[in-house]
Amino acid sequence: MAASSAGGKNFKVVLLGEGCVGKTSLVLRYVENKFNDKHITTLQASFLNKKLNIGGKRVNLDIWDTAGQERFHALGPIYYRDSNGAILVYDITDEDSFTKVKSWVKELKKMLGNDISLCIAGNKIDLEKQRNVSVADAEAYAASVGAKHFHTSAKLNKGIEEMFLDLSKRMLESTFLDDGASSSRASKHKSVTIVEDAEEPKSGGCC
Amino acid sequence: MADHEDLEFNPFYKTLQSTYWSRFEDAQAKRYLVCIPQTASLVGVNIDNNFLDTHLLKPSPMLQDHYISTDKNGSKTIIVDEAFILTTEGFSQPGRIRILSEELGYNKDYKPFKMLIIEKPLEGAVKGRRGSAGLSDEFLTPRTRFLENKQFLGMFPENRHTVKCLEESIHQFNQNYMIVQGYLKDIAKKLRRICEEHKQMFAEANHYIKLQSDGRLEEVLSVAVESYVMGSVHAKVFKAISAEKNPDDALISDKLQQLQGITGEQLGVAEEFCCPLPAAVVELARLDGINTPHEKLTCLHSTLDNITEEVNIHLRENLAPGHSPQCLTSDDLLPLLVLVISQAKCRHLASNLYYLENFHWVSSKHDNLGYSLVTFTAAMEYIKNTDFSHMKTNNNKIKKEMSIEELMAASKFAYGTVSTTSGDSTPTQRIFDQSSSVAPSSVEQQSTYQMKSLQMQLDNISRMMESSSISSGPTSIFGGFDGGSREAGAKGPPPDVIPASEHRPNRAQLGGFLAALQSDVLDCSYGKQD
Repeated sequence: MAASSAGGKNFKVVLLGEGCVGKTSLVLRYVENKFNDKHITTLQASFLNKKLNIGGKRVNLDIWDTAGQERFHALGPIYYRDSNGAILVYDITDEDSFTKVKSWVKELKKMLGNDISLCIAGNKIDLEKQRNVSVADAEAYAASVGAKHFHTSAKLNKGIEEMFLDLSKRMLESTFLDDGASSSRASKHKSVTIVEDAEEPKSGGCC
Repeated sequence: MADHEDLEFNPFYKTLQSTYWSRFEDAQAKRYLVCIPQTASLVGVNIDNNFLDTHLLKPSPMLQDHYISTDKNGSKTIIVDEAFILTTEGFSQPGRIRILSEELGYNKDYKPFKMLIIEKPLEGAVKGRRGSAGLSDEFLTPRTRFLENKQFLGMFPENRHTVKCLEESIHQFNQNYMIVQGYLKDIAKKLRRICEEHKQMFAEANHYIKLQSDGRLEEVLSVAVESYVMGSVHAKVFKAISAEKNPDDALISDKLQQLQGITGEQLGVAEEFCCPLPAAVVELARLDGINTPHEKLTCLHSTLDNITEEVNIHLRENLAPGHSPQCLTSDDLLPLLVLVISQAKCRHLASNLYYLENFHWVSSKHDNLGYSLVTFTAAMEYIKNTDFSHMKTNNNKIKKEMSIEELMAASKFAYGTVSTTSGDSTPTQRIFDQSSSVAPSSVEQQSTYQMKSLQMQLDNISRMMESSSISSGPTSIFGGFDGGSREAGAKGPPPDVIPASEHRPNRAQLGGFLAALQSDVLDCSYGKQD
């Protein structure tokens, strides 16, 4: 799953959340480079990249924004394929956005099983007074599906780095497990390359 | 793709991870500040313990933002001052070194420490910009076009024999390999093997690969071999793919017909993002004329980039004071892309995407190019599975070709650039100045983009014209603008003013505008000349 380069690991992380939950601000806040203005102007929010160092290992996060509107529902699997992690964002003042998160979790689980590390972000904690999703419910739900729950605010820059660090940690852990059992997994996934390379070439094709 | 500030290729970072790992580990554990001079500044610099002492620094116990070198006496002090590092005590002379970026670092216990990428070493001379095998960063960037890749392979005398072998394999494939319908995967397997075997041969014989300590030269080589092979067999392979994917291509063509005349709003794009996207359309329209997978993928990627840039410019132009522009997310990017596909008249979209999915092996599926392919695949699926016929009812105006508004916008780009670069303030420029409420820096960025965009368009248009005269494949998106409209636009002066914020000109302006098509900077009229 996770591609390794000489220096470390590459992970694909999909970002899910309804339009108004602030998922874009959240991730933009995370990847911004305060030392380089140019970075911001060339920014597009649909594909972002962040590099970390964890215990001397380089971790490269490719963060994919996913079309989340209902009408694009059928396209989800095209985006999720081969992802190592997912961040599901809801707005704590909007209960519907939390319900939507639940349906994505189901879909991701159905498609990728436990191969994907999940984070659920309750965003906009700066609007705590208007909260409509109870902390206890959200945390209990996250625990029940093996996801980690985080309280975030893009506005106050709270909880974001912690969330990505935790996700990276878990993705690293699961790759280490993977590496140990890679031979059994290779056949499980559509790892076309490995299977095909083993085959003997047919010389000259069909002629 | 590697950018030169990527730590993966940085000699100092690599030394930290190998020779001086224990010192790096200790620095992480103690959460020191790690200053990493950018790769280009490290040529000829001797990385030793002294160098490490200066670049791994401990926070001063007394003063904030002060850091002390880790030699025995802690003889040097630096100050992190916003975007700069000031070298103060212990340095031969005080200096001010720019911080380029910061990378998040966490130690084994997941406690954060700071890693700053800096312009040059805190101490020591900078001799030049070179990679580890004496190759420039430009040289270590993969080529895009077929010919560039072919030239690249021919550059190394030690690889002459391999080039010959490769040519022979390609020749054999083109002459002897019989393609049987339904066996596309076998062709892919065969070609992939040719690419990999020859890449291996290249790498073994090449003198520079052994010297280049990072994987960049190898990556460039992989791209070059693949591009050379696939470009050479493209006619044969793509014909087979098109034959097999014909039903899909035909279905998409029908859907694209339905999409003619449909607007972004009708497709559910948020109103503020709706604007003409001529640069993206022109970029995508050249897809069928490209023969290598890498260049095709790059074309998809730049189409998406153009959409983002054009929307960003539109947003900045219409920005209410005090607001920051919104970001384009996948929910809006996708329908905009559907429109661009319909306007660019991609006749072989399904075949092209299949080609990229199965006949391109050298780039990561995760990165920006991988994302571009997935976005196009998603857009194609959306087109295939959506009925657009009912949308037309609201809109009687059916666009036959790229609309006048879009061409207006295209020439607006052109004029914006010309007047900006010529230096004198033409009426057009003045209007731009007056109407733009954006900060000077963004105007600058805008005009840089416009210049880039114009150059790209010129390039694309000339290539499209070249390729359309050679092959019958691609249809020019400007095809509808010859004949009548050209007559209407007899020679005349260019329009005085093209409003910057208005994309829907009156009919009355048409004559002037069309006249501009004849004498504009593109120096050729749009469409095929027969």
